Amino acid sequence: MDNTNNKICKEFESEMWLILDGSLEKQLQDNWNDHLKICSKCIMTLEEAKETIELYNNLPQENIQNSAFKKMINNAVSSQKNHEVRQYTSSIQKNRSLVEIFGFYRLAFGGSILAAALMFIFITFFNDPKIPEMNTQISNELLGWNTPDINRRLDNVESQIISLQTNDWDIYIVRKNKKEEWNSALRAIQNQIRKMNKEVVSTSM
Amino acid sequence: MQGYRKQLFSYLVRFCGNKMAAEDLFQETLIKVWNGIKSYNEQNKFSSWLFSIAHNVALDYLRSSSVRKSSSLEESYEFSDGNNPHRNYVEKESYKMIMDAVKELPDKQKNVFLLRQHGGLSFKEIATELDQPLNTVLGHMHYAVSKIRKKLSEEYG
Repeated sequence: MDNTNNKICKEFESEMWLILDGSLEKQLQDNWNDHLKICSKCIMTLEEAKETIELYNNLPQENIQNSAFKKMINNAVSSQKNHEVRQYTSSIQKNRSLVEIFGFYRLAFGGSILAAALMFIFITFFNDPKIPEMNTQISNELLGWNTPDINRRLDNVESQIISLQTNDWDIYIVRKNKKEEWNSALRAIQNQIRKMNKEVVSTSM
Repeated sequence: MQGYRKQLFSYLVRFCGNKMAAEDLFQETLIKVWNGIKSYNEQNKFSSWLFSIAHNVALDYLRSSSVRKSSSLEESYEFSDGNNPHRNYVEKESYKMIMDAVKELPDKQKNVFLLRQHGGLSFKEIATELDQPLNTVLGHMHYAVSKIRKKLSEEYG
């Protein structure tokens, strides 16, 4: 019985603060009121707590001087202005320039690399080298295939083709598709020459 | 804010046990309140919000200051009756004794006790503020008050 009472009284030590706080549910409050009717120990605990709190609350409170308080208010207000300015500047910093973000030298280095890459792409894909109009020249040569010096002319044409493949081809940077076009043109010319050679042979016989 | 001036200042003085430091903490609390006023939810009690800021400011101070400076608090309050030296003496002695008792409380008990007595926070609000179970907070309050009472009974017999 004593143990049960001790347990209840121990519980009261905590819950009495909710009673004093006025935040305990009515049912629980009623239960404690019933307990207090029979428990002098808890009544004493409650009274002592109330008394101590009252004593504490009656102590004079520390105060801050008016002048100091006004100064603090002014400081707080000016601090708020600074705070707003800081917020504004930090929002500006979010939109800062690339130079500020990366630094001048990094930006210059990166810019140079980018410019070089763009130049390479432009030269490779968009700046077509001027290819001499070999087709026209060759066809002009081929137009006179039935002249007496046909073999010499054919040799000239062939040598021109070979020189084109060895020299001009290496000199000019030609895109792959251009190269293929050029190769197919050359193959057509070579076929034409072979055809002409056969005809020459057949006519001479 | 003016209405909470005394409560807030005495809370800070009693929390850190140093009037000079309390003035700095008071100033810092004001600045934080001013700067954060937009974040204050009007549905909540202003005093709860104010004292939770003050509590955090004071905690930061205690964490940052390795040595807890002690100074006399006797000059920090106004005498109730300048013409009654006896009353002043008794008041001063009680004040000193209770302040010493509060000062000697473990931090957790002191937090709960001061937030309740000065901030006017309910125990549920204190439990939320300190992130502790309600029963623990009630226990801290009980032990804090018991220790203060014990100290007083030792002195007065």
